[in-house]
Amino acid sequence: MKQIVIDTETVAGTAAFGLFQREGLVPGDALRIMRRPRLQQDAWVAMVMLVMLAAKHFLRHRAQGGAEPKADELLQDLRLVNGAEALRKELKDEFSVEVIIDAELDADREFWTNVGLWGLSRAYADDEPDISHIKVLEPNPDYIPWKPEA
Amino acid sequence: MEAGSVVRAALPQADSLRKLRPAILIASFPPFGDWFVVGISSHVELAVPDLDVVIDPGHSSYSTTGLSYPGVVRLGFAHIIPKKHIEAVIGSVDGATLKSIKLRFTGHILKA
Repeated sequence: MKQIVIDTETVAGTAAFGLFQREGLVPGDALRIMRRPRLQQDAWVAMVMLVMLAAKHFLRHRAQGGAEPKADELLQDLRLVNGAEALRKELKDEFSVEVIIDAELDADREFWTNVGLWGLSRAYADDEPDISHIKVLEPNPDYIPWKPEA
Repeated sequence: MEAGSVVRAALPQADSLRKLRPAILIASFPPFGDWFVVGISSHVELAVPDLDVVIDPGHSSYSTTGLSYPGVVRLGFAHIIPKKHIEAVIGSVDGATLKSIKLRFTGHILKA
């Protein structure tokens, strides 16, 4: 059994399907869905539902060899679901997949991330060489460019 | 992206902006896949004897880091950062250098 972490800042809906493919989601695994602080409650619930629907699709897809669902299909399925808890129970009962929702953990993680980033930044002097021009060998697909607060 | 990669990390500054800084990936940690990293500063004079690793033109990894200047790997400022703050891989250090950094870490911890 493994745990797959879904960061809703970067993964939702059909993108989650791709993540499950890469990580090899199988029955018995756990899904840890992280909430981002800037996300409104309504958007958060919708994202959790879409991630769980994608997981359900994926687990059935693996069994039947079907194609990746389109976003429309996931949204259609959303109408048939009787709430997030029902979907969570369905994943548990049908595939033994535990869904862990990390609403509280997120603020804590944000704090410790900042500690890490500021701590690492102390390794450098103010006059370090500019490295922005150095050739990139491999971009990081998970990188989220920083934007100043509005 | 793997242990031993030299990456550009987007780090905060006092002026509220971010700056890209070179760092070496040491190990990835569950459950989030965050990376334990060490920074490479150009200020080699700050190297702590028997702890920090200086990568200068005589070093086996000098030509592969992607940096065009000598640097000191500052182990005392190592931290764990999420993947999303790592922009890209720009180079690497060889297996012997990575092992040496790890051994200096563990050696320092074990003797403390």
